[in-house]
Amino acid sequence: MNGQVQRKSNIVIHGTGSSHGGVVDVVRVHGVGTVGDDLDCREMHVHGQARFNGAVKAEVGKVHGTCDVDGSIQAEELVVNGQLTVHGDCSAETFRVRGAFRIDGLLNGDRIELTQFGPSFAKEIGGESITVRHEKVFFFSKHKSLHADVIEGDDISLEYTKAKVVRGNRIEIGRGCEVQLVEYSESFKQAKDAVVVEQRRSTKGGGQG
Amino acid sequence: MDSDLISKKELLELTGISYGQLYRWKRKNLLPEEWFIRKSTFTGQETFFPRDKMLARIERIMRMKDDLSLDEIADQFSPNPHWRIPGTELVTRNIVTEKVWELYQQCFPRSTSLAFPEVLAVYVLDQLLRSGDVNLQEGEMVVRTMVENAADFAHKAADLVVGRKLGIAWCALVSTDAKLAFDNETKVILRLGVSKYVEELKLKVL
Repeated sequence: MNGQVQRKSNIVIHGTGSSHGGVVDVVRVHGVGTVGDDLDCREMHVHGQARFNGAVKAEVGKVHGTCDVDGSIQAEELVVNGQLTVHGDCSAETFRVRGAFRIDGLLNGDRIELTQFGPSFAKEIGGESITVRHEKVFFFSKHKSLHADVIEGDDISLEYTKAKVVRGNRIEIGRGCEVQLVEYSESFKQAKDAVVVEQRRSTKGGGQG
Repeated sequence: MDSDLISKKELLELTGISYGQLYRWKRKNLLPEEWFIRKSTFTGQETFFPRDKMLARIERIMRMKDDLSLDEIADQFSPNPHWRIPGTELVTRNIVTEKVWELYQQCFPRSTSLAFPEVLAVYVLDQLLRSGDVNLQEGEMVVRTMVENAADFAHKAADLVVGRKLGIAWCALVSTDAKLAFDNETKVILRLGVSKYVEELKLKVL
């Protein structure tokens, strides 16, 4: 019963094509590809455009282009240059995006890094360290920034982010942010042009150590 | 606010764990999704947990996390319902003695491979017989009680109680918080928490 599942086959799509999911070793999409149902793989590489109609589980996921996941996605490392859309939850130990994402559920990761090129959305973001930066682009408007309901983490550093609640130990609210409520336990910094409606220091960390 | 629930903030204050740990444990399925109860409060959305379950779970994770990887801990909390083990393997792996396995086969002659609750029953029997608290006949009774009532106690922590009155033995499974009172001719020989054996056993067989 125990022991690793045998991963023998690969899914390779060059050009346009579609495939079933299943338990495989490597998934490679160069071009436009669709994977039918749930996928459990060791490595996932997308160059171009890929659509996954089920849940995705991968050790390493790399996307250059756009990637659309109907279910949830779970990975050790997820690196996206481009656009990622997830209709369920997204969890990864390392989550690094240059571009934009849309996650309808929870984005859960140890290290979450976003460099924004365009509008992003996640209902909830939680993890140990969360960093949101924005590249210097002409005409970058506030309305195209990251939106989230709740952002929670130990170390949070944000730029151009619109959130209802940000909770954490050490929080930096950088330029272009709009946050309704900040709850922090250790430190809090705010950039001049950032809007924070309410801020509170919680007791955590004081007595507990 | 509902006293059976604990807010995420209060939980972190109380246990001293960080957001990072909480989310990591959730990612690794150490904390079941059903326990994350989202509620709207005046400060926006907050997450609540069932207080007792969550505090007990966190305490157990904290105790195990130095010795086991998070994936191993996750397995401890969710034994696969389809998992089975051949009875003879229990003997060859020295989890129970051959005598005990024979005794079990006398009670349930047709079972050759066991699911987790059955393995648990054999294991408890083995431990009880080793300690000398019960004799063979009483042991048989204990095994029957545990196997036949396994479904009722599948998701609850149970205590096993064995007693005697006027030389006749009896045994019972009760929930751990139950208080029992007896007439003065009844002697309770032992009362032990089954969950301790569950954890021991998981370390041995999984």
